[in-house]
Amino acid sequence: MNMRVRILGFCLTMIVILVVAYAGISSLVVSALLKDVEGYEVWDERVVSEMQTLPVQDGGRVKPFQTLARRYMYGMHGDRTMKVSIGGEKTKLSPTEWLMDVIFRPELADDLPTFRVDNSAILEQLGMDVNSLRDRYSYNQIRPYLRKLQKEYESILAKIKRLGDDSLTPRQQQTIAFVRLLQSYHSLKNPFILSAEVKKATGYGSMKDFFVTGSTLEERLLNTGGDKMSIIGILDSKIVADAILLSDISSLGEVSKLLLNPTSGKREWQSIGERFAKVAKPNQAAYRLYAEQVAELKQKHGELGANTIEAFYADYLEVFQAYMKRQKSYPDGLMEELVELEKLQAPYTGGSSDEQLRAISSFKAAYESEVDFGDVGGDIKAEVYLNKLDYFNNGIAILLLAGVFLIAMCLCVGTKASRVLYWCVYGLTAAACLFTIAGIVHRSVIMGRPPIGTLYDTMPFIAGAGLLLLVLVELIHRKAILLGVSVCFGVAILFLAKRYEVSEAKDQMDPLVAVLKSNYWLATHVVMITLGYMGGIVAACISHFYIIGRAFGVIVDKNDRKYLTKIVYGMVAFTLLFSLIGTILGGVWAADSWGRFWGWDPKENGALLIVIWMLVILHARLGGYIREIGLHVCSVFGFAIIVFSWWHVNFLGVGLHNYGFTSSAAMTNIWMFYGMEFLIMLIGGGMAWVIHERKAAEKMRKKLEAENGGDSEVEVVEN
Amino acid sequence: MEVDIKMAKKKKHMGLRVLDFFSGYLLAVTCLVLLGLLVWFSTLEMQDVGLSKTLERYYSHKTIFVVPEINGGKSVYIPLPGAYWVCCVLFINMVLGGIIRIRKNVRNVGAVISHFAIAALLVVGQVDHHQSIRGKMESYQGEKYDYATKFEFTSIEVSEFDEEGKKKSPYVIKHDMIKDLNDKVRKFTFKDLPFDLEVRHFREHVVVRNGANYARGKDSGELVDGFFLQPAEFDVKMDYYNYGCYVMVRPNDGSPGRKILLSRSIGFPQTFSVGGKLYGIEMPNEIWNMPFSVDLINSVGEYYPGTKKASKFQSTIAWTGDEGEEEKIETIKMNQPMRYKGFTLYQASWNEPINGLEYSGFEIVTNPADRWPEYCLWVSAFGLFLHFALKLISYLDRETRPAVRRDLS
Repeated sequence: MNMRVRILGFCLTMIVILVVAYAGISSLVVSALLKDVEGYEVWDERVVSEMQTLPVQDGGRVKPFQTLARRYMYGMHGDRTMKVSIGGEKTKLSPTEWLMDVIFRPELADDLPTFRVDNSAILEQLGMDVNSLRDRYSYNQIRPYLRKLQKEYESILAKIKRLGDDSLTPRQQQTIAFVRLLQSYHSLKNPFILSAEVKKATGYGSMKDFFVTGSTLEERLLNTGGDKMSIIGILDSKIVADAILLSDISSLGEVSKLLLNPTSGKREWQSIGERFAKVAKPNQAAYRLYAEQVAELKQKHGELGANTIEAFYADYLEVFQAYMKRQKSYPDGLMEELVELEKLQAPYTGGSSDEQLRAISSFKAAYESEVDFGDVGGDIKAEVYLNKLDYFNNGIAILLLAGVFLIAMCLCVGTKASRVLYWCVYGLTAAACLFTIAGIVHRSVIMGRPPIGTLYDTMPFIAGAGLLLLVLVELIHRKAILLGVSVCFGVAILFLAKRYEVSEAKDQMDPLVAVLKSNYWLATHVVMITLGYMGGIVAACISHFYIIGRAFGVIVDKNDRKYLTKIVYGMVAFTLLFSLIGTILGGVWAADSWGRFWGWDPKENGALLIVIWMLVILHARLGGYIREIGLHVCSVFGFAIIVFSWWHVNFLGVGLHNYGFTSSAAMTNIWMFYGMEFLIMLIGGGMAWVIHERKAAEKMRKKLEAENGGDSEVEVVEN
Repeated sequence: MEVDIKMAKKKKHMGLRVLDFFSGYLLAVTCLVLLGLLVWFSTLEMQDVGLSKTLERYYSHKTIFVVPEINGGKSVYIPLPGAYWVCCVLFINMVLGGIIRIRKNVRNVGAVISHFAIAALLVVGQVDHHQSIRGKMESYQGEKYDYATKFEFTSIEVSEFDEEGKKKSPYVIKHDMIKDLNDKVRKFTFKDLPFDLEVRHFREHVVVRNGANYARGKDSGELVDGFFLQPAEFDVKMDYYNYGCYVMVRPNDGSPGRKILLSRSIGFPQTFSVGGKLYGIEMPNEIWNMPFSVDLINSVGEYYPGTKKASKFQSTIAWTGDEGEEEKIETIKMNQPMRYKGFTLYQASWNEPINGLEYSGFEIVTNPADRWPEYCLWVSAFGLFLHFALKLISYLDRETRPAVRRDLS
């Protein structure tokens, strides 16, 4: 077979493996048609830029508004940007723009395709027309079905109460998760911007009207000329309007914590919303009592008329005074702060972008001078810069470009162009490596801790460290094979990191729990264990290349085969050493924090399994039970064990390292991965068997030749 | 020549062949693969049956063979030898093959050190497996505590109440004395008490049921004062045994006895009178006396702002040893426990002050193996490092040698 065709076949196989892995990781990407959003106006760039650096306190730390917006967008939209059609033109909305819409222009945001639904059956069962299994929907599309959804949600809650969490079907679990997303979305909408419905029902123009009491109210009452019916009407309508407004904003949620009272000066920031809610909630209860008492009065006195008004008025005044007594007064200065807050949404309330920009700037200035950032403060500018540089995604882009050059290089084997292309691939891979390492360092500096503290952190670290190792080894030997390994390895791990970050919808830089707050152990145990994972994964990637390359006849040179085998052997030793040291350090840490060296925790067992398997490989090789292909097949199996330790044990729901997430989709991906590895091992095993058979036939041929004095008629197919 | 070698192989003494087998790579690889399988199956089984039951099934010295059950109790039908015994064989293999019979040269120094350390680790691991004890000390500010309660063990405590209703020092039937009872009856006599106790129907995990609301099953205990003990499924997530049993109080004066139902979950003593005196009987965790006392001076708990994520738990304690040591002030933090005479006291939980009293929960562990597993593993890591470093040096040496020859020529 033509060598170039073989190389092309080999490259395509590697691409197919990567694509299958990616498809598994991403659980099938949603490919919804772009939704046209009518009347949408893109935010002024200056406003977005100013808003994204607004400090917010969330997840126990101070972070830029942009980071928070990303977290919410990942959770609801399942992507890093929102693509919509505005006036027929494709537009990408950033997380900051989207969250600004939700907070400041909720009526427009309701039209955005915010909600990603992975199983549209949960909407279909409500009677909604759906296009495909996975799609994105706007709040307004879901709105007509909210009542049915609420009923379904309540029935599921009742089932949980009756039979426990385990009794739920996957669809019911998805329904619960979806309703919680909707609740979260609700809580994000700014309660201080009055919706058109509330404005109509209350007659209020803005929140300022809510605070109209005292002299203004007295003035209105005086204008009645003492007409008791009018007085009752004014007082009652004011109370009813307040109650409608309170009920509208009673679900003061996340956003009430985001937009803060700049003068609070405490470690835990207190927002205007929280201060408002503290009073609003008891006042709502006071209103409910008032409404009951007025209803009783109406029943007692019958229809209001000239005969009944005097008695009703006397009783009503008593009820009114009791209500006023029960009313808690709002903190001093709250109204002024709300007025300031309303300026942030200037364009929505008829102001200009310039006005809004000034409001955001002065709001931030107040923060920076008066809010106590304390030990949980972050470097806002550095984090915005980190988000902007987007190291890991750019790393993927560079590696993909390297991949294109690599395929071109393979097709030009033996020409001068291939040498030039080699250095292009090498340069791009090294650049991706440096970019990834820069991202790890940047994050580490912002977090003020060693680079690995969460499951997410392990992925860029493995990618960065693995790329560095492969690039250095390639520099020594310059055989080009490791460049292919580097590209596939880097892209796969960084893609995994990207998909995990979006699917988890968490801020991966939030502070760690007390027991993990130890820079010494994070810098030693966790780094060592992760380096162990890296060693095993790199070894397995090389073995994948070896097995597939040999199956396609691309790796035919004996020296190349020996070279790859030696590297894999070295990586197995590397993995054993680092996994063992990491495990020991973990045991020492566990002894200090949990009082025991070893507790058979699933994560500990996973690390032990890696150590045991690496020992099996080394001893089996020493004993001669495995040779070249055997070593590579075992190394591929080692990858499956590393994935078990790295990922699978986290889903078991037991142990102290349990991360608390249980996603059936993720488990499906893990099993898919095991299946793929099994297939590669089968190919390797099959190849070993064929070679063994050929060698046996060769031996037989030689034996027969010797017996027949060199005139053998046995035909043996050449290797 | 070839024939001679074959003959020599055939003539090899049986004893030598056995020695070859026990010190060979085949046994080493087999043991390691079996150990790997056992660790893997036990990790998967843990989610269905809980940690303590899994450890008992796979790692106990009583387990000769285990049939793994994963995915909700479905048997895998692959009987595997118990991990304890696999480790024993591995120990023999390592001592014979990795220490005694290994070629003694510089290149193998690291391997010998590693094998020696891992073999020592297996021994230390057995000590840990048999001897370590864990317990909890719940301490409130202003009280001195010189005891903890053992996690895994229960006991039966009988105490007399004085006229003011205060409990006197209890008489204790320890866990070891009743753990093997099941349906047998065992009589306990106390020299200073005017009654004997007959304990029976001891069960590891039960719930107390009201006879008016629940029907008794065939494995349920008898009805006592309207309640009975019903066998329950082990709570995997809690990993906690709720022990239960029935006790018959038999007064020495021949007066009628009294049946009492006991369970670890009841949490308060049940009273009875004998000879005009009031007694209480209960089934708490077994008391564990400490060689020191702890007085909680203060405890600090902090959460990250706006969350319930702990950022800091720490306690300051006044500590006094039982050998007349002076009182010392110690601070125990997460990752920074206090160690004394093989006991490790570490911060396990923290609560907001209750009635103004600060609270800290300490876990206490004693393990005669102490930090020996750690030392063994460090030595083993050093051995491995040495071994691989020597291999790397010789590899690099081989790689560079032809180039030198070319240069010379």
